Amino acid sequence: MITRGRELPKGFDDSADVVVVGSGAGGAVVAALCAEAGLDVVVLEEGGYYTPQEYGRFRPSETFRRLGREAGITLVAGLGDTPMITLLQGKCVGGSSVMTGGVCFRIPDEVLRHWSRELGLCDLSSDEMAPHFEEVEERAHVETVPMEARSRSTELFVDGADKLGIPVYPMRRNTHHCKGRARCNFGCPVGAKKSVDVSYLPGAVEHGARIYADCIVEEILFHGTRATGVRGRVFAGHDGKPRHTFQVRAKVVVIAAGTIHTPVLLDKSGIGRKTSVLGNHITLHPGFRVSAIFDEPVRGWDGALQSVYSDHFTRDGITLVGLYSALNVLAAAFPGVGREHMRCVAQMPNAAIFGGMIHDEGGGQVRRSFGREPLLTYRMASEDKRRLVRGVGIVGEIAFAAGAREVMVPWFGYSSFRRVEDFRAAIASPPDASRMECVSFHPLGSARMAVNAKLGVVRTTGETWDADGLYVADGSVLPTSIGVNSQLPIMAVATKIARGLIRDWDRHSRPH
Amino acid sequence: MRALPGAVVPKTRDFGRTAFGPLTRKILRSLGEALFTDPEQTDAPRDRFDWMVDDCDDMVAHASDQLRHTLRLSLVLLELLPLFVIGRFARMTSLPLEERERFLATLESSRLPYVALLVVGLKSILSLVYFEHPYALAMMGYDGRHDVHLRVTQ
Repeated sequence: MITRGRELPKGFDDSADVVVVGSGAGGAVVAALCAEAGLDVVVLEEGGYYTPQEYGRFRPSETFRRLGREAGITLVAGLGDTPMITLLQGKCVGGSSVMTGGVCFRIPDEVLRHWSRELGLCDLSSDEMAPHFEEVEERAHVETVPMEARSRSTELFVDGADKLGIPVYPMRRNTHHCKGRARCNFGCPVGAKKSVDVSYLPGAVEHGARIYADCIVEEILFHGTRATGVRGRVFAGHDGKPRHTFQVRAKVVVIAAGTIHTPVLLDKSGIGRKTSVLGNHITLHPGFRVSAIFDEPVRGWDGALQSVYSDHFTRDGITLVGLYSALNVLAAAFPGVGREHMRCVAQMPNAAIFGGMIHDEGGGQVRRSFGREPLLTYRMASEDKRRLVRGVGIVGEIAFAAGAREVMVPWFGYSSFRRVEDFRAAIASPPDASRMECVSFHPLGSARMAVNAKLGVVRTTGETWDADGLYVADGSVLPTSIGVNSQLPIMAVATKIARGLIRDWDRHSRPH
Repeated sequence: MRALPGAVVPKTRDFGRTAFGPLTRKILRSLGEALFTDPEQTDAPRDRFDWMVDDCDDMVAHASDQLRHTLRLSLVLLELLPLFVIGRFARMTSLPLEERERFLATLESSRLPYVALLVVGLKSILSLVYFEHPYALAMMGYDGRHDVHLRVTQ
């Protein structure tokens, strides 16, 4: 059963075995697996509930405003010489998984090796994680993007990379019968993307889980050091302010509110005080892109949004991707104002988009702010700035090698480059990072796993060090940056946490 | 709110919020005109910018109080900046179109990152809305084939 909180005339009280806060990649997986194991589950989601049939018909900006947090315009406050970073997060039943490109990578072996050997998180070795990845890949239908789904924009990326000797590989995504409409980030228009609202939550509901949309959790309830439920308010009334109160009592509380909101809720509830890591060291995987104008029509809107990648520069902390997006999103990033901007935008049919992301050091910090939304700050490390410029340089070279006649970079006040020499000169002496623009889709690591309560907020089981029966199961628990898209890793880690929770149910079901 | 033809009314009703008042709507419109002036079509239909302002208002209304306040403040700041940027004792909305465009271009290439951010941020938000209009999509050569709803092209 899915209840739209905004339609409720008053608050509610409920009780369950497990209450899950958040219905994204982490929360949906835990909810489904627990419900399917026979536990009584309640899911609380701050955002609204829209069916795939509804959001598949939205314009891109309608998706942002209805399914995204802050209408899709969350800005990260840059400290020092840091780029302008826009963060895209979902706020709806299904969470950010509804708004991802569907790209699925496992956590690279070298990252898992680092976690298990150097950080002592033995449960997170490649061997331990493999069955969880396999389970998610099967359920979410992770498949390799076929050649015929590649857009012309992607073909040009492959062509340019090939000329420079950069190997490119097909991506895997959680899709089935993708029609290549380059809209994955805005809610799949044909229901092909197997986001968790399609692949996991229906299973949860079938097994009796109750999902409440429009409900913000403000407090975790405790009995001694044991979590016993949550309390919050329902967004209701004409203006959608948080009004009616609700309370859900449960034997186990699972927080899966995402990397930005989980630490704030934990902090408000007095969790994580023994460590200095709560809300700190957040990694963002800042993404960059260049727009390349070709003589030939490209019409990048025909094809999958993302279908190839290159890990050739992974050791340097850079992953490259061929990509595309909705035209209004691309137009927003074109340089200039007035006539210059419109001149660039008019060339859209001939534009290809090449991009990538960097494997960053954790420079992010989230704190409670004066309003409901927390403040996310980020100080980019100097090594990451170097990576960012290098990444733009590489994809620009790929564009010129593919035959681009004009290349536009995401730097304020720069118009396009028509000669590769000019482009190289700009890369050799780039502007301050604060004049660059990035996008982030993968905030991670604000309530990380660690071997003790000083180094982290949760154990490798996902249970917090501070309270019994209180789990965290979202991107916030990942101990370091992973350098790849985070959806599949979060789902696999959530699977591991859910399986452990179910295995340990006897302990949780004992009377308080 | 001016809806595009065939607009979807989702089952989940929207909350009845607005983000901008008369002053900030006026600034938004003036900003949009300067950002998206099409040299090929100087007599841009008035209702296209009316729609842009309405739809932008609807979009931002979904955001938090903090973001709405920040955007309103940014718009007012932009309105008052011409004196300091191009030395004209005038509000942005009272500048002729060409001069407004020059003012915004100067801001965008400013050495002060937060000043540039003001224009880049607002341009991004307005672009998201403006370039969804059927006219703008057609101008970008998009035939609307992937809009299952077809409401932006019919």
